[in-house]
Amino acid sequence: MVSEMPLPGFERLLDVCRKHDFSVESLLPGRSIPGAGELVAGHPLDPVLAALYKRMGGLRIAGTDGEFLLHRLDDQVDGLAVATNSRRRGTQEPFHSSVAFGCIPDLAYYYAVVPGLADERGLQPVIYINAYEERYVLPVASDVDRFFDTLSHYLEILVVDEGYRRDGMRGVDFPTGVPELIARDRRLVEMLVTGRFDFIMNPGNEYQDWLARVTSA
Amino acid sequence: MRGVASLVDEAEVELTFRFWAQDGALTLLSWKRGPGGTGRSEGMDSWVPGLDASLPLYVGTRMGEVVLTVRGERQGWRLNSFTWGDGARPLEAKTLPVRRTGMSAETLAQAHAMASQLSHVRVPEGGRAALLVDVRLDDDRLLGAETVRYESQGDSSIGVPSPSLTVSITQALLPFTQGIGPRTVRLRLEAEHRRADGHARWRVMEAETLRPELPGSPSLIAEHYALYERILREWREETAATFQQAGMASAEFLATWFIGSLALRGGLALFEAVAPRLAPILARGGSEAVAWFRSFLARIRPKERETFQRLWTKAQTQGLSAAEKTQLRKLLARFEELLDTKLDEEARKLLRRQANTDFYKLRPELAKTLVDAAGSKYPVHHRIPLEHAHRFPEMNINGSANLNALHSTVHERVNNVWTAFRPASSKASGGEVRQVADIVDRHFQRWYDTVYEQASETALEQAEKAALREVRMLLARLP
Repeated sequence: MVSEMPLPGFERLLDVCRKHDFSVESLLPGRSIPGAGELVAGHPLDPVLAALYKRMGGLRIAGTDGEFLLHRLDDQVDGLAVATNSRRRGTQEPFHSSVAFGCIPDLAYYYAVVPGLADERGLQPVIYINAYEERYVLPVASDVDRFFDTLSHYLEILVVDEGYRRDGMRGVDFPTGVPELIARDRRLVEMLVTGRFDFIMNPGNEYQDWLARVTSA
Repeated sequence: MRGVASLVDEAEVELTFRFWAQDGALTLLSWKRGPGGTGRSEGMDSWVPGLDASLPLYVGTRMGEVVLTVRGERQGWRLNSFTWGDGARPLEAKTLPVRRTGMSAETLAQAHAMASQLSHVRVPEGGRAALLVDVRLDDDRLLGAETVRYESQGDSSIGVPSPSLTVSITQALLPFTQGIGPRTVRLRLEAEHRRADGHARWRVMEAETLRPELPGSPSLIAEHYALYERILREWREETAATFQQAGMASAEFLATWFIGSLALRGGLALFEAVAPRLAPILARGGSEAVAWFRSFLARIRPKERETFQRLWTKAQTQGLSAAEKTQLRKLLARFEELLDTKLDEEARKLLRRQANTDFYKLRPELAKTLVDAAGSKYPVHHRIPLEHAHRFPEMNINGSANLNALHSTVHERVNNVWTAFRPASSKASGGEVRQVADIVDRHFQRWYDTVYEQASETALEQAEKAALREVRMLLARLP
């Protein structure tokens, strides 16, 4: 039996969901799913995702609205390839160099790993992709477990948000409304300031603004 | 009823009361004094024994019109008849029992002030007079009164005052203050002066509620009244927390409440001057204006939504102070500015969440079929994209006519077409944005709201190319 990789960020996310009554639905894991480094959607699979898919075949977290969908990956379906390839067009970024592993349920806001920016342990950073007509990318975490940790802190902010409590229309959104949470990930900030993400970003105002907000938070 | 009966000091008089009864709540619709009267009688101070206690038992939780007659006899008042009528529910009728009954000191003072104002009428010495008065009410508030008709017989050169008229009018009016919404109570009074007496004797003969003609469909009006009654009750009896728990803080509720009250109760004058473009959009009324405003609310920060609801509810139920009126106007002036401000990221995301929910709620069969293998429903695309929403301030950008579900592969291509238009978008007109939306429709609509087949990829490629070509031609024509 393969020793399980600890996922403190993911565990914290589940705890927060339990504590604040977010529903968590998961799918059963497949029997033979790709291991870390094996190709998925044309890129080596991130080790955190590989560990996660050993535990479950997919996940959906919802409160008043959907918050996070981990794409299905099991013996029947490779949802990472499905989601990524449906958006991928030749060498166009960001989908050329990234693999979408999740999204805001039923919306075209994706969370994707960037395998080309993996660190020495093979951990891949996470970007947020707005795939609507305004199309832009914001880096959100230096690795997938760190992403879950940040998301869990966001959910704690969300449950006390006045708009969310009042009528479900939140006054704070993820990630755009919480640059200070993102900035706690110092390794990500370092990658941002050294321009590691530049190749995958469109040079629009959104990125410049994001860069300024995260680095100054 | 006792108050009305106290106006009668003669025996052999019959009083007929009509109420609407619903879930134990009684609303007086009219009362009428029958003919007759055999001179003063001492027994008239004695009310129908046990009626106050047994009326709730008679009525129970039944719904309908109750007609009740009482007759003054020498020993006191007796219940003559109690029947159920078949009238339809009048709008002003309460449907929810309330915990706080009785009149507020303010209502009493208003009734008294209004009655005093009416009681200046004089009766010709030794003659007769008849008076018809309309009193305007809103909820339990008395707004004003006017004389509809005054007729007299006799020598009008000498008028006799009637000091007891104030009390009569007050007693006749008060039971009508237990109702909902704007309405008029019409009072018919008759007077007689006998030369031997120092004063004229006035009698209120009849009082009944007249209902305003309301714009809009009956079902919308009924829905609005139901909402309004709940708001009124919660507002007066409950705390802000229960207001929230009762779901009365949702954007949907707020939009329905705001547009409905604007159409049926007015209030446009409060902000028309500071929001000249917003006002007519809201004044359209009906479900379209409700849907428009609900989408508009996505642009308003939570704190402002809360302030707006608080001020508007107070404006409708109690009236606003001068400072609150200024605050409301400022808020609405800001709303007006938002009409042609580009949507920010937060508002776009909220609208997309709402659009997805609404689209699949309206088309539940598609919620089952339009799901991709990764487990996500097809994203909902705005025909006129949110990026350009500010050019179409009157349009409900989240209206179903502007929404289509597209598989992400198709969505990606459609976005490409809009991206091609983006460099020109700041100088392009609303008409040109519509032209691009038409181009997209023409080339992509076979993939709208339908399961995407991989086999159509070549056709999709061609559709994208053709659409891009047309957009480039359009761009070339732009100055």
